[in-house]
Amino acid sequence: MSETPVKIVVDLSKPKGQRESIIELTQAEIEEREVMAAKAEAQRLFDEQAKADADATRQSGLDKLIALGLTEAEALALVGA
Amino acid sequence: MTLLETIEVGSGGVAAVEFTDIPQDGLHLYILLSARSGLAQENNGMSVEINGSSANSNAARLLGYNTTVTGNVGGLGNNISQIAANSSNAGLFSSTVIVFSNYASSREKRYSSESAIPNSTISTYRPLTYIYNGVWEQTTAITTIKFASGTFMEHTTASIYIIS
Repeated sequence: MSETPVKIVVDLSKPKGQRESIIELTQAEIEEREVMAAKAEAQRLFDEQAKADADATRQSGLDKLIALGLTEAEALALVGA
Repeated sequence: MTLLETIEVGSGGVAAVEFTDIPQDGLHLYILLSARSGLAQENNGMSVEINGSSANSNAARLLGYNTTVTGNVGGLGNNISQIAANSSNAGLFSSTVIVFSNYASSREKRYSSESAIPNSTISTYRPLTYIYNGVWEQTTAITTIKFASGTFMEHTTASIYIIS
């Protein structure tokens, strides 16, 4: 990519074959892009935590079922392999 | 359903893909993406701007992986989906379907998206699927849509259809 990020703009009012152009982002778009990147990173961290929490809850449930006397295979059959 | 246009990202990638002057004679917009972000992660959020604005959008979301489903409601802003990113196995792209319902109407616009992240051997989360259902809280017709996700890598494709 060139030094200034670019975008594809597809103008659907034009005839096919003449619609596509490559345009450099405006300063406002570049700043917006940075904001979006920060939000995406926050969302990724949220997702990772949600996954870890869900996995921990699942494992805790499995452990309790096994402590009740179920085999691991029986416990997995209940909560999904 | 009528295909309006298909684009493919060329060498070097692009920061965004924008469709402008969307015809107003359809009922719903249907968008298909085969995409990969250049970010060094397994997947990356994709944002949408409607009519040049990133505001007034929000959604609920389900995230499914392995045998688990989780999710969140609100706080997503204009995050509309997740796509494959550059820590995934080489050559893998996510498939994403996005629908904007009643896009030309004078009511608030509902949208949904479903994205399948490719089955990267690097990830411990397989399969990985994201489902969003959101609203753009504006009553003006949608004429422009822009998607961004860091950098869309070469060979990312986007197709836009109208459903009448």
